[in-house]
Amino acid sequence: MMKIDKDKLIIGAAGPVLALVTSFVLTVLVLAASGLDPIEPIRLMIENAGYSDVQVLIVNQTGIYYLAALAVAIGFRMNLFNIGVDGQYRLAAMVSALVGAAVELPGPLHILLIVLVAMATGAFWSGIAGILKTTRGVSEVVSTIMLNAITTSLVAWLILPKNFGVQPPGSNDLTTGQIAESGWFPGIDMGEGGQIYGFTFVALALGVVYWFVINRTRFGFDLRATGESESAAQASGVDAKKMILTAMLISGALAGLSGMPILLGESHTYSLAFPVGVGFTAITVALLGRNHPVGILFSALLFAFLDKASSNLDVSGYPKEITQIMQGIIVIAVVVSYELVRRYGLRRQQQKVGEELAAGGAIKTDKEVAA
Amino acid sequence: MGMATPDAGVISLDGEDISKLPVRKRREGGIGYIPEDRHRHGLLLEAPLWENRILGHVTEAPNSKRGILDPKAARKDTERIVREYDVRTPGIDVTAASLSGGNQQKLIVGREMSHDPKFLIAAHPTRGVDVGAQAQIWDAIRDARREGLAVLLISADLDELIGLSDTLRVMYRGKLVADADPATITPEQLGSAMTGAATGHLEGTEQSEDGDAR
Repeated sequence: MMKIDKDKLIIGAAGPVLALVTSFVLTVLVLAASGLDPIEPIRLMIENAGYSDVQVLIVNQTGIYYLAALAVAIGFRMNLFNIGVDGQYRLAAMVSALVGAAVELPGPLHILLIVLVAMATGAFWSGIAGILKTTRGVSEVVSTIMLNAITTSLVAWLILPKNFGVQPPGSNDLTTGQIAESGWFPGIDMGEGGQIYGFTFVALALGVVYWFVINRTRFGFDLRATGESESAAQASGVDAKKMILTAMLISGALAGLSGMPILLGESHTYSLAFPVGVGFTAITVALLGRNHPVGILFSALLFAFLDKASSNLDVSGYPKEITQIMQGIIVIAVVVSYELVRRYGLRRQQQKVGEELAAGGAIKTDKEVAA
Repeated sequence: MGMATPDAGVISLDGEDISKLPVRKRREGGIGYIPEDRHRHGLLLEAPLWENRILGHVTEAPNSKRGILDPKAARKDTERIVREYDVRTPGIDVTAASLSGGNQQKLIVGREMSHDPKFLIAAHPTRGVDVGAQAQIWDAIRDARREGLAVLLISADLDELIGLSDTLRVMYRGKLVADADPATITPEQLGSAMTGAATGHLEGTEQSEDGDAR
């Protein structure tokens, strides 16, 4: 139906490519400056990614980043910055693990219950920030950072053995108890490589839903309009407060879902070892992916690769922290390069429109058609 | 339009009290709106023209059906607007920002006229617009008036006011201070009323206390 605009595609890709090249070059420079071979670690990482078990790890991590990045992206589309995805993700994983371990239901129902509890918890937690913003004008940036800190304390307190925590015999770890097998989400067995979480496919399906909602519904149009110009959106009839609250709730629900691949697919409990920081990485993933479901998929894959393929660099004498340097530089490079590309694109289009009009390329007016 | 809360008074459309209705309900109820500041309130500058055609009318045909957008119909209708209102553009996929002010404004006028408004608020409809576009916008408003559309024209352009209006009310410092018949009033008289120098009916009859419909 819509023809693909080659120009638009090139300009769209220019931002991420510019950012990635910049961060790659800078990472190589950092390595060289610290007296290490700058190319060898990168070769090692690519070699690692050839092993099937690393590939499975990368795919699984991609699903997790994908969900969390969708949560961030839906906020970004309307200029809401939900930094609280990490807190919403952790609290939701914990509460849903508790509920999941406490009940026993037939398979699909058990899973559904855990998933719904996770979404509700995430939405509740982000909803607090939403309500603070709509009723008191508190910046969601500040309130969600605060809520992250509260999450840390809250989770630490809830998981104490005197509250809801369980200490497995002979271990220092604390968990929320094991979820019965009816609450495990079936995965795909990859033989030696391990298992791909089944929830990864739910994540991909949600990417499609995200695209549809943003691009093809009235709600999505209002959301995008608000992101592009709040004043124009309001004049067009968008209820700003309702939009902020709705977007925050959806963002929190998605953040809650991002703990599900691990919880339902592998750990089956929330423990002290549950990964943290997913929600922060997701901010970069969403930025790099330009808040577009396909872009986010690629950037989630890239970040999962950086994470998982670097894990044994230490063994060869290279600091695996170089991937963190690279990720950090990507954040800055992305912001700068997108703004540059955006300005360039606007200028270019204005020029093009001017040229085409001068060349008589305008759509014929009815007078001319009638004549 | 429902963007500001009135201190007093009632706004009614076709006998129905709309004072408490939100912006979207008022638009759906048949109010067309050409905003004073088209960049802030009328357009999504970085969105393509066909999406700007949807702005403000996302719940109405042909833009959407049952909550789902219909880009195909919206695009087709954008092409019609571009044709009928002579918006000079190479296509409907260029951003609104890449058009000149006059063409942006013609797009807005065309959009607001496309939903059978019962009432059109035109705030400075030709401010910052080239002469050719100005004439076209005036023609569009005149044609709509002839077909029975009620237009509230808010403007500081004396020729525009006198040329388009059936009746004139002058506001000065938040109050209605004068009224006039555009057929007989001179721009000088109207101008002095706008600066507060002349009040009352500028031909001698009683002052009207009509509320402002905004």
